[in-house]
Amino acid sequence: MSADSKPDPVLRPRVAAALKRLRDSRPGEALGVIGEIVSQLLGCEEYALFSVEASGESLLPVLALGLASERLELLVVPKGIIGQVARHGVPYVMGRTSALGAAAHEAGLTACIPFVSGRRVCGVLALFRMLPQKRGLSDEDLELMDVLGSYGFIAFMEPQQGLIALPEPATVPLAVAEPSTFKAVYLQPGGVVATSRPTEVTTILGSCVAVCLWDEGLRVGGVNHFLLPTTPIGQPPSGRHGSAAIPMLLRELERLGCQRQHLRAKVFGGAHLIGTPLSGGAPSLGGRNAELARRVLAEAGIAVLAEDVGGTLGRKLRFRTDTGTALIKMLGG
Amino acid sequence: MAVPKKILLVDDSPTVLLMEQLLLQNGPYELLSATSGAEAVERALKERPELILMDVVMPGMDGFEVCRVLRAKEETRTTPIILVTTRGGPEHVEMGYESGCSDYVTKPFDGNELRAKIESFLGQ
Repeated sequence: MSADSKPDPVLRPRVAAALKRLRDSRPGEALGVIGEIVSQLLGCEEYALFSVEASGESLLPVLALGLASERLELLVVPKGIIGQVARHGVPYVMGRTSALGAAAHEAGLTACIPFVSGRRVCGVLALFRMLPQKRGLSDEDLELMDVLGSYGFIAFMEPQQGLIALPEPATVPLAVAEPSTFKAVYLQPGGVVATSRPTEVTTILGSCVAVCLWDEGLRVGGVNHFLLPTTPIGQPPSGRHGSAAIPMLLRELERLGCQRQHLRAKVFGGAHLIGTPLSGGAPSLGGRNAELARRVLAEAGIAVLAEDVGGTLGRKLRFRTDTGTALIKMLGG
Repeated sequence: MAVPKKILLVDDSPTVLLMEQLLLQNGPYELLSATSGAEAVERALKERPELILMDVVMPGMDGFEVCRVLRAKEETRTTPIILVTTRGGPEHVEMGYESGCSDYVTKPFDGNELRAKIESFLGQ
């Protein structure tokens, strides 16, 4: 790293990187930088950036991803929330600011950020669908939006080249679901699911661990998927940390009427994947995750009926919450 | 003083590379970078990094393919490779592990969590 790229020490890396890239962008680069920040750092997969013409009376799309052209045509008419943001320069964030006056075609709008130059709103960035693994907006996301709002105007200092439609991400064919009486759910890392409805939960584990709990009598069960055994200093406890994820799952199951003495457990994952140091020093992350699961379950007095942990390969787990059946597919090797 | 450990950062987005550099620059690491799959293979074989942090979606050779190529080479058969990608769907995570990655992290990632994973792989 060169000395001039050092961040302002109070800024977090995502925010510092966005700020530096925007400030340093050369003519012709800024739109691409904005696209990278929005998709890679904010995690939005459906968005449009408009230049604001005639003090908010018309919008011109200059960058778009994931939005069909028919939808873009509706969005260029500055009404609803996007129109308000273009005229008044006050950002909109779902759940934090009022959605009063939203137009029908703005359904799913996560945030709308004005790009301000001096006192003039020169652009608006409308963020719709976020990546599926993204759960809500953090304070750091709001800081990133502030950076975009304050420095995004650079993109409008360049001659516009018309709309840049970024290539659509390659679509993955969806598996054809077999007709079944149970629901299928994919559990993202950090997620916790507990349900009284027969559900097959799929999740993919490397060094992460999934604790499956179910009550055979009630046919109620759930799973978590945690990445680290305990919560790192300075972070709030969450489903990403075993010390929080197992109690969360237990609480959810108890809320659904389960009693601890009737719960059974299975534990999966915790691999020592290729490259993990296997000898000397501390145990691997996977080993520590599995050990934490065993310890917390023992403290809760819950019997572990089966476990498949360790090894050097990832695992695909399919768990039925009503029956406790678990299928494991080893990945790679 | 301990010798800094070499980490190869691979991403076609300069913004992501910069963010990763800012995240890791105060650690005991020597940071290298590559902006394409082909460059990643070349640098990995030449520089022999102790860990590779790699994007999946890149023009030309993608991260899965780079993983398979590096796993087939004696020099990088056991190098930890963490794939870092916006692709969080089950098909992609499964492909990642099938291609021989050591871990799979979805963007946007939590900096503290990624650092903890890196430290764990490097035995720190």
